[in-house]
Amino acid sequence: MLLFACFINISASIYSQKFTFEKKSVTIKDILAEIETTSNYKFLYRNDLVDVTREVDLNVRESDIDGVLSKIFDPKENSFKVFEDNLVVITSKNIIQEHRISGTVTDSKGEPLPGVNVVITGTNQGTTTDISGNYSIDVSPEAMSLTFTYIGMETQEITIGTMIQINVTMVEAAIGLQEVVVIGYGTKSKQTLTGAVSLIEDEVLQSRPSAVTTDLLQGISSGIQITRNNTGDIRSSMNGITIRGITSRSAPGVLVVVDGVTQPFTDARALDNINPNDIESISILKDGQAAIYGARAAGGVILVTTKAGRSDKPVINVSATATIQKPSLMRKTLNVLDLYEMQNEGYINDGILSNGFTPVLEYIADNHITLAEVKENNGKHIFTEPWGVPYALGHYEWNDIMFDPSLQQNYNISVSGRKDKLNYYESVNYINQDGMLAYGKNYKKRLLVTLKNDYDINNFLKIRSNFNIGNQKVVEPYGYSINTYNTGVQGALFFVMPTNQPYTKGGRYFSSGFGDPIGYAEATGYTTDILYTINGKLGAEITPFKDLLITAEIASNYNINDIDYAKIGFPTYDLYDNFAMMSTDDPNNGPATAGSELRRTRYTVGNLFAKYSFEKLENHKINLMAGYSHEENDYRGFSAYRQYGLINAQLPTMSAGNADEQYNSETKNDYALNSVYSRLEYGFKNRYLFEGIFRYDGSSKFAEGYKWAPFFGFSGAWIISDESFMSNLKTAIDFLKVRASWGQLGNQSGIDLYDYLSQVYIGGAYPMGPWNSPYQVQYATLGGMASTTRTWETIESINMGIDFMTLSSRLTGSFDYYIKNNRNMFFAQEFPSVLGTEPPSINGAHVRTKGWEMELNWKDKISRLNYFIRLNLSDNKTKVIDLADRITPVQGTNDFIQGYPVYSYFGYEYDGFIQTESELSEYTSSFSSGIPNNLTLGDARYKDLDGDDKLEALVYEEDENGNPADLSGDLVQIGDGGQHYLYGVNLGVSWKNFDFSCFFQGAFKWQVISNVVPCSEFYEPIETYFYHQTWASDRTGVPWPRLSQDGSIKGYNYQYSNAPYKLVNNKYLRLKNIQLGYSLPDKLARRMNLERLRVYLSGTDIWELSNLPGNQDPETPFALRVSPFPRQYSFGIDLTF
Amino acid sequence: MEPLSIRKYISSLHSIMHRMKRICHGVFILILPILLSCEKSLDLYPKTTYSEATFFASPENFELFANQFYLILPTIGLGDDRDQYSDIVAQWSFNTVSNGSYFPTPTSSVWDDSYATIRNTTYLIQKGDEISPDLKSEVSPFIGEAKFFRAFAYFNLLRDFGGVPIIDEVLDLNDDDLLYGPRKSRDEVLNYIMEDLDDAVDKLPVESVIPENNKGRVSKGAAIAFKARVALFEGTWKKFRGIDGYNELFDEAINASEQVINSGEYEIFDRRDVLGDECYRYFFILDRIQSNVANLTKADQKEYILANRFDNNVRKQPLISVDWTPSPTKKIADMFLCTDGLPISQSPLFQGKLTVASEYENRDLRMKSIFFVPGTQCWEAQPPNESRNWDDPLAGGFILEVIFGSWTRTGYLGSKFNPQVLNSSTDLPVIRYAEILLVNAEALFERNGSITDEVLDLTINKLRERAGIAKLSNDFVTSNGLDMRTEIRRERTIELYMESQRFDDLRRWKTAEIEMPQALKGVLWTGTQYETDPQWSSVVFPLDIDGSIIIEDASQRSFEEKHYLFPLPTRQLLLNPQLEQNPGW
Repeated sequence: MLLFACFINISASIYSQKFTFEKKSVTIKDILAEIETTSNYKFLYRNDLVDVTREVDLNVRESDIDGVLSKIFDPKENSFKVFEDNLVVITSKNIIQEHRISGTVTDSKGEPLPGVNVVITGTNQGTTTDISGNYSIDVSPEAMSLTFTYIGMETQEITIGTMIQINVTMVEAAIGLQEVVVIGYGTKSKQTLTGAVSLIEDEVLQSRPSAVTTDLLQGISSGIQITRNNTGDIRSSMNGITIRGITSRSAPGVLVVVDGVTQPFTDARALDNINPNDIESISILKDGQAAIYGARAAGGVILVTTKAGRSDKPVINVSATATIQKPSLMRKTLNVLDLYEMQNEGYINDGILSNGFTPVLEYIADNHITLAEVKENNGKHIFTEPWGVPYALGHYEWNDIMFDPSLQQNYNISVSGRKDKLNYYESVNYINQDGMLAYGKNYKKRLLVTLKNDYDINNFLKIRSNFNIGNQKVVEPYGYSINTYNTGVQGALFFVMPTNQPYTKGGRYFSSGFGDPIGYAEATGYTTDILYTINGKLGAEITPFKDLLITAEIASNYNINDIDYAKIGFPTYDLYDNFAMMSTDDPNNGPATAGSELRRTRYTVGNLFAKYSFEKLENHKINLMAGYSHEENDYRGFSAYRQYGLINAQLPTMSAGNADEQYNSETKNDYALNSVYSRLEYGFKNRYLFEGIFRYDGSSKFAEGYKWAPFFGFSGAWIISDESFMSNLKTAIDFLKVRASWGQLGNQSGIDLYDYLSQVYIGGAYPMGPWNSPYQVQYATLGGMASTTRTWETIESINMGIDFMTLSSRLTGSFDYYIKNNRNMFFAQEFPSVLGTEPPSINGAHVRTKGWEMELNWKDKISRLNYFIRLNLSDNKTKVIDLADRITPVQGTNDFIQGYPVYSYFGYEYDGFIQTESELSEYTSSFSSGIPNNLTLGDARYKDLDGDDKLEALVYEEDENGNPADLSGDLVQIGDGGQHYLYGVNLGVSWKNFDFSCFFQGAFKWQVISNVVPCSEFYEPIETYFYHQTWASDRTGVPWPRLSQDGSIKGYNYQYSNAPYKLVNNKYLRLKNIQLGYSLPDKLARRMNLERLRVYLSGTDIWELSNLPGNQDPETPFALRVSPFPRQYSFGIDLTF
Repeated sequence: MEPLSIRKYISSLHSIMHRMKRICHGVFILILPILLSCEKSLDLYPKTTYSEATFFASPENFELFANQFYLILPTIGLGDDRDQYSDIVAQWSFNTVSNGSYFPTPTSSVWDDSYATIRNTTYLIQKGDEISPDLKSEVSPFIGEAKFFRAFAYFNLLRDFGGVPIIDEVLDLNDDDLLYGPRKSRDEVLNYIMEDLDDAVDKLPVESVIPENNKGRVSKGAAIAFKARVALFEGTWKKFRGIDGYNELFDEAINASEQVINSGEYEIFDRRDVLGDECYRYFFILDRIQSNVANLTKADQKEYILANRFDNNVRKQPLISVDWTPSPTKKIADMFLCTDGLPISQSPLFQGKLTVASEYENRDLRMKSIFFVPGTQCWEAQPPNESRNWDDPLAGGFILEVIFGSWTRTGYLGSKFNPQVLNSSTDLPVIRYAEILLVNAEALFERNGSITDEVLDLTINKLRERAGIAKLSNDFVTSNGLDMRTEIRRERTIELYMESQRFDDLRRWKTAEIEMPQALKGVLWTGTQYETDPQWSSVVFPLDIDGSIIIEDASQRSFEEKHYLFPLPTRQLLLNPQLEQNPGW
């Protein structure tokens, strides 16, 4: 099970030479000189400290160097130490022990370099250079050398010797290659990486002012895709993360590892609960190298490293950002006159010449009422049609009414540094975000505190601790994001008619049968959602002897989500200020309710692993790592609510509810994972690199005998540029490496925690007993069939990549091609429904993803103007190779269909509109079934592909002779919903004290299907872009078919059944961020006792080029469009002292 | 110093091994207990569910498991009302079943849900076989319930699809014979239903002995009544298709319905004494709290044999509102007799359709009870919700007008089952005594070709009496040139309006091909208040030759031979090549 290496160590030096002296009254200096000439020992001492002019008598025979020196020096006065290279250092004991070294550090241009770390090699003692690049440090006699480090510069190690002044010129490091990349249970230099690992550094993360980590990752690196999921409110909007496409139907999510600690959540929460200012770097394991996290690696692994103290001098950083969020890309709906015209046309097209809209339109025509007149005289013309409730003709722009720009504030303070053996980083981050809702309370406040302290007790034991505590509160009107009719702000806003006045004449909430969005924002009660996160880690690094490092750590992660809400009835009034109804009497809204929910996740992980490095072999470099981990998670969810009773604005509490109307429920579950993992790294001449990974995982989710599975990974790289045959090209190609990897990634998500067991569920409510006072009985139901033989899903990842650096390290780039095969994907084999229940999901389906990624970076300067360009472009396609359940494609989006790409769109083959009577009769007579029997001119035509006179919603299939198969239908794939050719472009320029950067992101191909149609329900507003875009006898060349209110025509299975006019190529380019910064000149900053002061202006999501109709956000196309899109304009200040 | 080679490493290895061993041992001793304890930690069990293996050891759990079956009871009036498939109501958008434009779909909820019920009921029956003998009698009533609901599910399949595969065991994934078996004949399915019902009748208790705390559960009477429904359905299905064996089925229907009638367990709810002419309206909205002037409650009726129960505290009845109720068509409106027992075409009492309310005069009392007469009061969704003042019915509410397009399509406003309040506790009948009387009359008539006045008095006339119309007798039929079968069927159609019977009735009588393709019509327009009153001046409808409005033209409606059965879901045909599609599809 555990791979235990045989650890090897060597003794440091060899005492071989022997000396014989018979001397009297000879100076020590002479003796030492003689030894230096007759042997290869060298002596090092300071004349002012060691008295070598003293005369001694020396009589030794066949003595080693220790023997000789102990005779001539008095151990009370002097000590000596023999080093590996036969250098003997002699020091004095009774005079000054330490001496001070000082110096100046400059860059290659001779400019002083402040903030350079100066450390006594092999210790934690050190200092940093001041603003003039000067430093001074006291060194003990044992100190051999000083190490100078500075970000972006080559690290230098200078032997102290007898020097008391050491001036150093730092040289810029070749880009990236020396950077340390975290690869899971260890690190590697970027140069020696064998897998496809993306590294995202602090400076990239800090270039945008966002408090949401996943926002910062969007578009930055190829292979990781962040999809916006704008549900319209602060509370439930969360980004989606995928790494290299979807290769499993069970959506395993990503594994996030923070400072070595795996996180329980596999979605954006794992990253968004981290203070982005705390992040030092992020590395993403995209290929087989993720196999080191075997069990949970299927969706890729994101490794986050947080900041640590860097210098002896405490560094205090204070930053503040104020962001204005401006409601933009608002849904544009028709004005009242055009809306009525379209709705009326729909009915007239159906032969309903007289409908609710007709009299209003007639009145409008008779009185020559214009839109201007409507807007001016809101409330003048009163009707009851078409909703049967009196209302006044008017026009209100509800999106403008409901949303206002809002302010978001973000403050961050961090203190970090090193003091003796303690390395500390403490930070606090506070955000206060106001929602854009103009009425009612809607905000988010979040406080994150990080305490990170590492303590090197001695050379044997180092303690690593990290503690994060988070506290987030979101308040929003009850049911804000619920999109159903009259259930909250969005539900009311989606359906609100332009005629709905905000208030009655008496200033009350108006109801025309449609809820008042303002009432739902102000008066319906609030949901308070509090999230507490408590993460703690304590680890120990033990070095029993050199080259062996044992790490033991235990971490625990609590997420407590505490929600309470009250739904309060508010009265609405009709046009004449008569009481109409309470909002809670609306059947869509339901009775007054107050409740609370508690969701608690408790996650614990323990890790024990050892690393051994064979450092002393010149040409061979071997690292071994092996370890064991145990993870366990338990969840408890509790919810309770009461209804009716005294719940109102004064008492919005559960206790005020009717005790007879109380409901509660509880969920509890847990899972556990045990894992053994190991890795062997081998490098020959640092040019041929190999890595092998073995991992063995056990999961509680599978039945006995199926719990454990092994995962393997192999990767290799060849640094071609280091070969001698490349030496001629060395000037042109600075660096060239090819890589290949293969690895197995496990998945066990997407299945229930215990469904290897047959279970009986209890729940529900049915009245039994006395007719007039029944009691509630619950019922027992059988769970789905249990699967006792199911085991891990294993994704095999193959990656081939190339990294290069050329043109004097100015151009760097990489290209990767990968194939991921999921050959035992979970799937629910389809059985005839006479089975009567859901069959269990089993292993055996096959999905394959193929993709490529490229990145190009250019960095240069033109005199004092530094600039960079970073480009990334990637694509992947996932195809379902084998899926024995053969789920039939349905019209619209299908995620996994055998033989098709994931997210394929299916629809009938569109054949234009029926334009003439003869076309109509020809078309309708050619079908015996499948088409509505009341089709008419302007309706869509579809092709009967299999020629059976039926339009059938089954996929079109051919037999081996190319003829339509027996049970073939007429559906074909008409599109693919995946995002393709994603790209990011990052440009930056700095000149003197100004810096400027902008970042574009987009996709070249993304077919989306519009679920927004011109003719929905008579009580729904219509998007502006449909106006006069539907077929009519005098508008035949338009993209959309005729309007119809008839369900059988307009239903999704006919008129709008995914014909091509619903497909849009949502290619887009968005300016994600643009920023202009100014840093105070050093001299000025110094005078203010500051290390650095930077102010900046920034804009996020402020411009885009989009192909979508209407005012849509291309990142969330055709989402139920209620809440506007926020464009963000920020001002920030960043102070370091 | 020279760098060391690998060989030197290995040679120095043994000197280090001593140190290594100590460390390795130490690490192993540290890890081993963790490994062992953690292996155990992977054995986790559900925290909030039962393990199936132990659940059925106790008889109370049989009851708990049987409770789920009640959820499959149809919620007529709340959406799964099959009258929308028929010709007596018009939905807000044209119903594709009603107008014959539907086509095979990959899936069918009737098919899937029925087989899910069949699995669950069979499961309980199987567990009943396995339980220890001394507990058998204790679980017997719940096995009876399982059999009743299994029969219920098979009848849902039979009436829609005809013969279907019979699954009589809890299937495993490798039971290929049954999973991929062929359809059984209609008769085999029918016999299977009847056997289950006979078993259920044996095991279930009589309604009056069901203890108060178990009220609402299926009774012996319900099983017998359901048997009568099934037998009449299949008997007439056979008779009008010339298939032998119908008389035996009529005998079964007669026998079963007589058992129910003679049991004395049920009676027709006729409380016109305290509720007045609209007694029939209040009957369907009896609540557990006051819901009528006489303060009668759900406990005051003995007509429902089996009901889908609702309760304001436990399982709220959603509002059945006027604007969501399908509109009654001219066909059903004209079907109501005048109080003299004569059709409107013959009766001198008929007041004509000159005004919006005139046709309601002198008619079957049920007409005013299951329609809202235009211009009357409706309390729907108006506060105060739960305390409608039944002593002063005019307090609150609003006047119902005929508003085409928002409240009605046909001009008629449906109101049956509309409790006019939110969150009511009204139950929805699944089988009621009135149907059993109608089954008895129809079965006897179809069995014998005639029906005696005595039987008419015991059955149909009990319903006509409540409806305030003259008795039906053989003499009355003859003297007025009426047809007895037509009158029996008329009675059934009116009495069971919006109770999911009409579509099945037309199919079993094999009259659907005549009735269904007829145009769906609404109120009379020409020469009436509708035409003259400016209120409707902007309303335009196509009219038939008599001047009635046409909602859906006959040219857009069809009912072919194939429509007598629904098509099997096509996905199932693909999965199981042994399944044959119904003819014509």
